[in-house]
Amino acid sequence: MTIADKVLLAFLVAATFSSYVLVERVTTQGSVVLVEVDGELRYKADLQSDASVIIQGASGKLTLQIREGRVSISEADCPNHICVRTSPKSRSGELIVCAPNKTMIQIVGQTDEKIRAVTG
Amino acid sequence: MRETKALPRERWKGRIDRWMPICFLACVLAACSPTTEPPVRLDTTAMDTFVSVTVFDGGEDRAEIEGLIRQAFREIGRVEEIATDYSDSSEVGMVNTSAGKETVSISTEIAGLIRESFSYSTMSDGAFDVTIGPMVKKWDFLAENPVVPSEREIHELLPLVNYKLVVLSGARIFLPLKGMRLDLGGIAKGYAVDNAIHLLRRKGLKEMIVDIGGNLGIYWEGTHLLDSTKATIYIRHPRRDDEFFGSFDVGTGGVSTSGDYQRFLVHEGVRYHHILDPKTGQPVRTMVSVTVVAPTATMADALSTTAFVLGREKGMRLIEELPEVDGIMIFEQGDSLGYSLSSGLQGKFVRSHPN
Repeated sequence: MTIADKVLLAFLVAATFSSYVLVERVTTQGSVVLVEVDGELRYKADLQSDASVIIQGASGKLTLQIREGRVSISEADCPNHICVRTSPKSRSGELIVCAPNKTMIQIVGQTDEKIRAVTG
Repeated sequence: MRETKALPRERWKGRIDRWMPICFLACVLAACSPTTEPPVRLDTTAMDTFVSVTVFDGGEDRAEIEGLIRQAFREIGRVEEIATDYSDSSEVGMVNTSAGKETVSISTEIAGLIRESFSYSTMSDGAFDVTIGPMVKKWDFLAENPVVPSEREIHELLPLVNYKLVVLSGARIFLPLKGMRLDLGGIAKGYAVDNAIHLLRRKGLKEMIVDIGGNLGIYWEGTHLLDSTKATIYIRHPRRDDEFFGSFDVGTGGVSTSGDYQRFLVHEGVRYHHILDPKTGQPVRTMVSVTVVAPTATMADALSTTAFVLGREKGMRLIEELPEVDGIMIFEQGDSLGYSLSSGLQGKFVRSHPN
């Protein structure tokens, strides 16, 4: 092993150790679906369980579909159907909004800060 | 023709290569995430392994916390100095060089640690034994080119391994047979972790992880053992460098793992690892890895080795019998790995699935 190899190895070791314990604040795949109508929480569901739910909005009904970890609106009693045309959502922080029905569908992730450590 | 090869160094290089992308990703993600107060973390090496202390208390003076962590490092260094058997001038070294000759006065601290180790010997009928020293020295897994000792060599050393022979009275100790050696390697790292945690707590810190080579001490004020989900502990996969076997959450306590992959040599296709059965002087064949969660890191350290040597049935029985102690045992099952959990970890341990 040359000196350059050793320096490189020392750097790699230092870089490795610096990642051993890290705080995960990363939200990726969402885990929970929240439905609010006019600012009020009406419905909460696990994103991983398939479901079809009818939500009573401010001016009509919407049908919420959860399939394979993705949420979409399949039907809605509203004039523009923007919410129905919105692509299915799966990631934390994503929204589907139906303005005429004052309905907001929001995906949230694990918001707890997790501390990690490794044994073995 | 002997084909003995020392693998640990190769293994580290491989591990580092595989971890690099993860480090890079972690840095990138850390840079992207909203910044609340980041934890204060310092690393060093001691006791033949890496050491890291991370303090999560927010709102304090970071420079002051770094100063406290350095004090904790000094405490770990102090424990290493008195407990190591590699130096003849350490307390344990002096006990060993006086074996078969004379009684030695030691500090009440080391006497206490030896007594604690004897309590694990008693409860396991000698599966944990700090008089394993002559065997550890013979196998010498830390050597440049470790070799497998002959049956005869091991047979000759067996009479020297027996904690019941040690004469310990107050803080005076005598190893009656020439060649006897104490080796606190199965308990000293855990003890150093506990001392570091105590020091940081005395200084008023409330949230921390101390890591000495995978011997973990986790402290979160107001939590107890497995009752909190604040810290997630990942168990390294015993056969795949870049993966975890599974994980569980801990609030406060010690976590330690004894595995056949940590220090070993391969001779004629057989893996000889560093966890030796005091009764045979040979590596224990029935187990791959044991992780123990306990109220202190000292307990976790000693009990992971104890349960490993005791094996699946007896080891798990001991873990279940002891209050506030839980464990995960990993063993070979055909071509793959099986595992068993103590009752307290049922429903809490999450098996990692490779992507």
